[in-house]
Amino acid sequence: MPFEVRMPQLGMNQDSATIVAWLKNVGDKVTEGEAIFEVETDKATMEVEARSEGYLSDIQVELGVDIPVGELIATIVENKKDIVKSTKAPVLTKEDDSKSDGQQKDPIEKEVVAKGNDAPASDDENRTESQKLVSPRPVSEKVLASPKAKVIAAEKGIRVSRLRSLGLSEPIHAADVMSLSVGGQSNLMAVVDDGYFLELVERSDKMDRTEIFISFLHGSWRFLYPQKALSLQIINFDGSVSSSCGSESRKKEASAISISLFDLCETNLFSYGSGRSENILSVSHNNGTFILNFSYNDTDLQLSDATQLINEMAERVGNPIRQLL
Amino acid sequence: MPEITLSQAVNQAIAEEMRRDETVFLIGEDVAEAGTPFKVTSGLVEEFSTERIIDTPISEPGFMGLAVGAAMTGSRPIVDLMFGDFLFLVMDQLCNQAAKIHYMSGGKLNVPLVLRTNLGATRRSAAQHSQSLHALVAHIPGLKVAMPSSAYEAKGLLKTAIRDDNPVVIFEDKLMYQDKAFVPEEEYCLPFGKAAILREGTDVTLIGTSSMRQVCEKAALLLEQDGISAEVIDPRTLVPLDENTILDSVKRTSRAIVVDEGHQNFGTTAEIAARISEKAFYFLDAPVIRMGAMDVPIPFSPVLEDITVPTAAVVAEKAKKIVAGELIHAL
Repeated sequence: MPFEVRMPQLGMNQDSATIVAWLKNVGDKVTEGEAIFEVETDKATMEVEARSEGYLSDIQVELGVDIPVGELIATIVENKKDIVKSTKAPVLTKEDDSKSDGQQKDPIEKEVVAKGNDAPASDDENRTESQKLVSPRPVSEKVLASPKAKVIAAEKGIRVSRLRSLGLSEPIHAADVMSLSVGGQSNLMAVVDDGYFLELVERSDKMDRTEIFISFLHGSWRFLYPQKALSLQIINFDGSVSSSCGSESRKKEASAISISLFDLCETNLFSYGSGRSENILSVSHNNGTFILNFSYNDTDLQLSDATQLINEMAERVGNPIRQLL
Repeated sequence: MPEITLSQAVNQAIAEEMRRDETVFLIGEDVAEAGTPFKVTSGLVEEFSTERIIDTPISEPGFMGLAVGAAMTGSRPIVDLMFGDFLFLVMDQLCNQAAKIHYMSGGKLNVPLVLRTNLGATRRSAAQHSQSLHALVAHIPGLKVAMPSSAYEAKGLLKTAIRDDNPVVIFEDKLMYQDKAFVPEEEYCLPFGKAAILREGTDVTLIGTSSMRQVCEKAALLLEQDGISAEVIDPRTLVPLDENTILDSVKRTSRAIVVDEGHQNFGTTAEIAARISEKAFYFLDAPVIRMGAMDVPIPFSPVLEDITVPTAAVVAEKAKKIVAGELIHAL
């Protein structure tokens, strides 16, 4: 640590003084108590002593100029290599380095140098430590949410442990939870005879089974809620989602209810619920029947809406002629 | 409504109560001819004579003990303690005697005494004349503590204090003695245990006692420029504390900063913040922030002294952080 040499207050009412002579030059070794410059106030001229041992460095003021009390005048550095020749360009040439390396040094100075080299590393460590402290995403298991945010989450029926998986960044506050349109998940299931539908799939050359399901779902929605926008997606087995037919889905209306269709007919699987607040219609095929399993979000759809929708969908799968009417 | 200084308001309160009740008298150092170093009691000795405006030797424990005895035997003394820092000298008379006599006598004796003193730093009075020690007495059961924040409160609370049958310590801000406020011409008393909502807001509640009320009001103006709506509450008395007004406000805003000029550690801010955390926990959307004086002896250096006390800018800065929902580990 360099020691700062500042203009001292030498009298009660003195607020500035002038340096009239330097008794040491930049680079000179000074010991504590040794006079380093002469200063003149309106009352007297006196010598100012160094208050620490080291090398005089970085003189920042000119002779004969009035300097306010407390102004930085120069510094005293511990090591020769830290000497700054002027305020503009610190002089630390390669030559100086090699010279000091080659020279024999007393062990104390070596130790100081070694410490000096270590310093940046430990600084870095401190920095990462403090960064950890203010990290916006703590690694802790516990979700950081304010008491009020937790109360609101509880009222909405969301477990606090789910708040993180819902994509909120921590710490979670009341407004974050209020912005979530998350309700509880409900489930509806319908079982329908597969006969007519399979026949339709076989005869259709324009659409495959999944696409027909989508168009039936779309048709059911339009039949029941001609005014309400709907956005339809298809969930693929790799987890990706592809958007599907229906002009509404392209408009991407914010108010549109979103329903995803998951066609599980080729598998032994039966239904899928994502754990997020989504509306998913899983369709599976078993023993001559189609099983429609609808997992929906309570804030998106009322029970009456969901039952009507799935009932209508089941009707259409069981009797495809309804889709044409 | 005339605008008068806090000093004049206190003077009026004492004079009115002394006229109303002849058992009231004032005792302390330099209270008569000198009118105290802050010129608060100037002119009273002319009206009430040295019989009732009593100058004492420099012996705080002596005149405090005398006043406690006088209060127990039917008088209503107002003790003037020149600096709040001198509380340490009267601790036994105040905390062991005055505060406990009603209880220990089984209710047979009471101590209708008012200890008027002051608080507040930034007057360049150094470490022994700049402390705000109200938390010290608020800690002792049996003492009431009032913290006027303007001339209006100073008069109304002092009159209530003089009429109270229990010992009351009232802290005036020594930097506010020359500050003016509108004070009704007609007589009024302000009830103890009733906080004032000075400004309504929706985003954060700033609770400021005594000198810090102005700081909070200025902070609220700064916050308004940033679109943050701050509610400002002055509790007026620490004992009794109007918990409900504070809790109701925090339940609405869900954030609170408590600002007080006493040292932060184990202080007034800690007590109020703890009550909010206990009783409005489920309504909080941010940690409750304490802002007291820095936990150091008040420096004599003006530069250093000024940063030991919360300022409007610093309060506003903290408020912005908690309203923005920053993660705060240590403030």
